[in-house]
Amino acid sequence: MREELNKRGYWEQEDHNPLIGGIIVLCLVTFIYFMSQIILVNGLMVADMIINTPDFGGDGDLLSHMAGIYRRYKYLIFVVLTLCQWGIMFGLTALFYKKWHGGSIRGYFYLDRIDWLGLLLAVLGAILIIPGVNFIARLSYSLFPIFEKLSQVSLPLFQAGSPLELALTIGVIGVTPAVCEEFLFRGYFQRTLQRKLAAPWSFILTGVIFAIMHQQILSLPALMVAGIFLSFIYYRFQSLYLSMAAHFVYNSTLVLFTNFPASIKILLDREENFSLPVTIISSLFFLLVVTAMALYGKRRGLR
Amino acid sequence: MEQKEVNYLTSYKFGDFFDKAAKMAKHTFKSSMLLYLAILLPAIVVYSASLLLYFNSFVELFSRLSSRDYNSLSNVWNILPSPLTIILFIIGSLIYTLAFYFASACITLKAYRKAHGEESELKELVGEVYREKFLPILGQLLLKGAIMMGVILIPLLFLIGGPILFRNSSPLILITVFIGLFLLIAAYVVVIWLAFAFYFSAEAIVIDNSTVTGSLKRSFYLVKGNWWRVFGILLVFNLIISMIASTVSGPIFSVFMLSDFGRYFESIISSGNIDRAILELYTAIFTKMGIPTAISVALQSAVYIIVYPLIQALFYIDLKIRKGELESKVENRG
Repeated sequence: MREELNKRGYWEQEDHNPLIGGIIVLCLVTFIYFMSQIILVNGLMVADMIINTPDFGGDGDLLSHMAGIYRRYKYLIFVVLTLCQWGIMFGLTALFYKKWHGGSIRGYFYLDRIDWLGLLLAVLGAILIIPGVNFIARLSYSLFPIFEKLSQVSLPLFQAGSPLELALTIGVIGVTPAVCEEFLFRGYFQRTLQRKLAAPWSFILTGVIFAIMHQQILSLPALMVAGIFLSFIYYRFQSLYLSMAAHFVYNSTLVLFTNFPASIKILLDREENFSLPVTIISSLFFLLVVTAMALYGKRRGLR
Repeated sequence: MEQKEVNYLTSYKFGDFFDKAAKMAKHTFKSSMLLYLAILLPAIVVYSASLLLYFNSFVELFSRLSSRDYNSLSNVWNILPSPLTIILFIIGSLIYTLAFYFASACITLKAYRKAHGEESELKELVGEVYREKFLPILGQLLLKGAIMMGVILIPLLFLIGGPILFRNSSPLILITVFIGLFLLIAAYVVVIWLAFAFYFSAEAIVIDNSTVTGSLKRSFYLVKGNWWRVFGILLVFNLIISMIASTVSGPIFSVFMLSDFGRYFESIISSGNIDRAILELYTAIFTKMGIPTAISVALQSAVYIIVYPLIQALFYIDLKIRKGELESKVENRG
């Protein structure tokens, strides 16, 4: 039985629209998050460049030079990203919720149940969606190939030279966004949006907003697909653990593919993208998984 | 289900501004959209045309730089836009600003009267604002601007005047520049303080029929003792509205400019010639920026005209209640 909302916070009082509170929190948290990241990362980078005048290598080649910047500041970016995600995206959201809505976070955010079959479907879906999302991203980047080259300069962030570094990379890129971004976008915002907007618009809109907040215009279509899938999981199974798990598996799989490309060579074409047959087959299985989620959830009487 | 009447005549908590503005928007949305289409959109078209001309006037400069025609740049009019372009841009900007203030005043008045249970026809409001309030609104805008500029002028006198007056004495130049910098920082603090102290001068004219000078005094009086509250709430409000507006305008700029930025990076990567790449990029930006800017302004104005006047009206009510000028209707919160 779900815990009843304890209506103490402002946005839970009679005649107040909680969705307005949701929009305010989303805008405030994402603004503070992005500003903090920009100020901290750029400030510390500039300070380092002034004090140490480091050589980023590249011998005049812009792309190598940029990759050198990512290599040098990898751990700075990791630390700032982790602090900002946990402190702002997770912590501030929890604070705003307690202050403005009141009541149990576990109950409101759907952190009080796990559906094991749903978890399996969510994890499967997260893996199967990757080739399709990659294909959509490639379509966008094919219009502007230079930006695909530019996007590769951040590869050093995903690459690990040792098992410890791999674990750290998965912790930062796999675990942290899976917990913190899901907490804000699905746990808080989508949960609040669902109180005023019926499905499928609630989870579609959340997925679109999630994609826009990543601020990557060319990856927008691909991120929308992934975002809507994560939102659908949350909507169907009413469990934040499932969307967190799917997000974790998705991000971590990309990190593993980056570090062990030989393991998936058989799935790739000559340009080292997922081959068309692999993309089609995985997308078909993905659709099967989504259908199973929809039917399974419906049969169990979930919304 | 019977709709419960909203009580707007109460002192407001932070969330009340947004919650009640959303409820008030249902009553003012149609009027806002009519004013947007009839007044704001034509003004935006005029502004956009002047903007396009202004941006295009820089294209000539960049093409001279690209072709290394440096001799022609000794003539200052080959660097600056033509006087006509500058004048047209100023006129275009003014027309847009005045149109926005006019439309905003009509909606603020409608919202204020609605809060008191009075319905007003848009036609009446437009007539009333045009006949009685628009000139004083312009007057307070000019007066506010003059006061702010006066405050900034004082440190500039030190910063510019000092090196001119004491050109033969380096220590005196240093002292005047140091004083000027210190005063400049202080001036910015004063300007920000004044901006929020005088924030409701337009509303004082629209709602309370104040005079031009009286509106500044009135706003100052109402904000006194509530400055940080006014500052904080308006900061959050503007942040939220601009974030919502930028989610629309960001992609528009990207669509227009992505190919040029792509060429810029390709040029740097292939040839390593950063100077030429930057010039080409700036030429492209100034050639193309007019249209996405115009679309962005049009979309952002639509968002602002719906919400901004309502927050102003509700804040004005809140401040009047806090000063005891309006009686607060107690809400029965369950």
